[in-house]
Amino acid sequence: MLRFIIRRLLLAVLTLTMVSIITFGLFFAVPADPARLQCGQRCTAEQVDAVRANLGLDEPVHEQYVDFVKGIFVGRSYDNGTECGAPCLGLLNVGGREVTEVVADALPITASIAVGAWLIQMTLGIGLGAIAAIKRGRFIDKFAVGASLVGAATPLFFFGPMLLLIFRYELEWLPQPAYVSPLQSIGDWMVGMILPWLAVSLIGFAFETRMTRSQMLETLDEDFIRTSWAKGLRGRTVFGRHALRASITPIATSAGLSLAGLLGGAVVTETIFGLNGLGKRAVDAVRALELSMVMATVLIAALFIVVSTLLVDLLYAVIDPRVRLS
Amino acid sequence: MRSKELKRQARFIAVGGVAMALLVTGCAENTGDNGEGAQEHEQNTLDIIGTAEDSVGPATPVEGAVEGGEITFIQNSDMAHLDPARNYVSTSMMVGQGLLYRTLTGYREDGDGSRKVVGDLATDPGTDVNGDCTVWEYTLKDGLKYEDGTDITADHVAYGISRAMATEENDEGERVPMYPEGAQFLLDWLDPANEYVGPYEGEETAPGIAVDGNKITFTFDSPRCETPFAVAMPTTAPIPPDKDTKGEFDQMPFSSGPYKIEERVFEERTVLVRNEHWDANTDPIRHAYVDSFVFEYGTQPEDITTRLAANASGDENLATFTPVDSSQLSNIVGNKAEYEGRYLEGPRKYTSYLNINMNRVTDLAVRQAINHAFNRDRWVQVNGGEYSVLPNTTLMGPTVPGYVDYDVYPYDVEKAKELLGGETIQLRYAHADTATEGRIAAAMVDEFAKAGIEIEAVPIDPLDWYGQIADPDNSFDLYWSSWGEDWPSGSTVFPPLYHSRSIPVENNYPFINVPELDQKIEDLESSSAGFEETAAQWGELGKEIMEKYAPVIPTDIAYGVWISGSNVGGHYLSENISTLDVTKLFVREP
Repeated sequence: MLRFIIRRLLLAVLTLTMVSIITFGLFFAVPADPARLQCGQRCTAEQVDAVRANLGLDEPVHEQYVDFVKGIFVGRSYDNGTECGAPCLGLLNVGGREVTEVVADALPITASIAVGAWLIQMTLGIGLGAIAAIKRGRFIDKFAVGASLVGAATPLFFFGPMLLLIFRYELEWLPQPAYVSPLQSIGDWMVGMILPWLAVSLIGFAFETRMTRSQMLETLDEDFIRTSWAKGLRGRTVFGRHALRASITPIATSAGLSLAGLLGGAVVTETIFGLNGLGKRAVDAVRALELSMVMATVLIAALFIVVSTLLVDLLYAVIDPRVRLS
Repeated sequence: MRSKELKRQARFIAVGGVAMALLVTGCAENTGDNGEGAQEHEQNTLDIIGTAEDSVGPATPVEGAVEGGEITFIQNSDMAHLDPARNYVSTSMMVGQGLLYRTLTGYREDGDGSRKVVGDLATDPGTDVNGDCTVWEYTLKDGLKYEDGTDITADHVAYGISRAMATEENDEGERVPMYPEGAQFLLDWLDPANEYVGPYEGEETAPGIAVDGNKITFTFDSPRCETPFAVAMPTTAPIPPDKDTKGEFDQMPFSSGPYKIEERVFEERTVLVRNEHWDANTDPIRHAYVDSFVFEYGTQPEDITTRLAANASGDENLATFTPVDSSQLSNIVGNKAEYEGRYLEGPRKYTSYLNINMNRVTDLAVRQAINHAFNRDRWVQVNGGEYSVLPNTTLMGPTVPGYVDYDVYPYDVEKAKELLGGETIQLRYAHADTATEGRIAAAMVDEFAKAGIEIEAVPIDPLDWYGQIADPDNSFDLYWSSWGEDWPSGSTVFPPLYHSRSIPVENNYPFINVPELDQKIEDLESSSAGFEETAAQWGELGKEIMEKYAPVIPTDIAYGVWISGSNVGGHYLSENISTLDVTKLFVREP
């Protein structure tokens, strides 16, 4: 087990290194010039050069990469006197704010959307999927299949603004979506997050529902379920302890990855609701050619994926005794 | 009809424009309107230099204004720069100069469409000491205070300017500017050879500046008759040396204006509260009706429009500098009555052109033919209609004093064919690779084909737009660019756009390089004939350039529509910065 974890952690470091090198390389492969973009149309060639020098973009690419990586581990000092302590992810070209700080502000927003929406979509998805399988062919089954089809077919960029138009602008039942720290007020946090949660989960639950339903149906046909019934076990035990548990392994994989994906930044959701989470920051950074911010968001998203796959693999062993980690 | 009428009214001046993405401006309420909802603008009047009397505060009150309350601006992005040495983008200038710092001179706009350059910190727009525009003297008013209650002095103004000129050594041992993004005019006039290294490593005061008590004097080596305008740029904001936090000043400038920064998290939120030490009686330009301004960032332009249009409970105190999004424009202008009291529209200072690459299209007759073949009505239509752009046929827009109205090459397909001698020509038309620009390009392909001009539309990555078109070796024949004058004079239009020194990587996109024209521009720049006379000559020069060289197709001037929450009053289009005048806003029911 320990060996497995160590091996996977080493692999994770390698993955992150590769991701960072590729992202860095891709950024410099784009012909656009961040210095020109920052300085604006009116800048003369000399002004643009000065901005380029101020941003450190006049150094060779490999040196910039080494500086970036060094910054993460030992921090960096900048020409303008800014001391950026480890882990330093760089400074924004515009505004000069530390990227680490921006990430620290953005992460709770993204995490709030992700965890809340994920919990709703998992509860709804697994619950509805399991009930649909148990009541196969009945009304609730047809409803679940229909609802998940609608969910899977609805694009978030349409559904999100519709929710906003109806519940915020037309009926005025809810305030404008906004992030309030749950440490400050749990109530305000929840109220501010309701629309993003609904938008993400009402679309996301569809996949979990369909998956749970088909896994459950498959399991319910297995011999050991027939045996359970024959032993005279109660329905609750058969469905809950035997059927659902046996079906959950693939669901756990998808659940882990979907949480990691949401944590990496709900780009569309954050953009629609004007929440400055990691996803929105990532897109803004690409548009503004903010290399440090692009690197930070890509690395964090990659980190979530790597860690969650590891956790899911570990979870397998707990859920399914047949799985051996090696 | 409508566009002609508006064009006649359009008169306002302009400041620091930028790249496409930054063309965010403001607008005007129905104060003294023309019955159609647009703000009245005085015709590019030459009567623009104010007097000592005009420079006395307080500013002319806004009708119906009351004190108190809070206004929240929702924007997509934060202000690019707030450091006066680096602030050169319209919305940042409106917030910086409107709320946070004062400059030697500024623009007084009384709410009736008029505007005059007046003394802001200074008692008047400036004294031309020798009558030849080489020495300018300014006297500071009494009772000027910073946010901590200390006195604003002429030394601090001198330091602010000198600091803007600071340079530092880069890795190659060359000296490069520390604050390169700001307006350079005054700095270049004071130190044409770029020898001054700034107050950090050299003399505390830049060459050409002398301070004596509350007087500050500028001495130039050639006549600079537009100094009253040049010192209205943010670079003359006062900064006490002990408050100069260098790079950090950009986020937290020390206030000399009616508001100060209470909270600032870049790209998240900015909160401004009253500067209790600011005295309205010294300020002929600004009001301070609201208790606080909040700026929140992160909302997409189309979502800003949706939210403001909805005006849901709790959103009544919202405002924005962002014009109504094109996707919702027809819906909103079609229902103006629904937005009464919070609907605004007006022409903006930005003049657009299709540049003709003179390195490739070398024949004047061909450039003239291209001009005749350009269907301006179709252009306006595909650019979103007359609530987005108004047709324009001149090089210097109707917002600049000295404006001359001419249409050297009216739309005439037959004339174009004749100039081409019945031959067919091929042109490469570069456009930003976006859906809108693609549609515009497709329409131009159709239109030019009528005159036998075959257009090949070439999409370009929008992020690299200026990098590509500013390259004199580019492989395109026609491409768009836009310009807004820095101050109301042809001197901030023709030198940057049509002088050969502005060719490499600057704004002379047609790459026009005519020594005779360069000389004319230089003569006007250093003319000591006075503002009024040169203004008219600049206007005529535009016509002459079109007749003799036809380097561009003038296409349009920008037009904007804005809405806000229902509890916000006092909307006015700042003629100076061409954006919502933040200093006139108030909360109707605080």
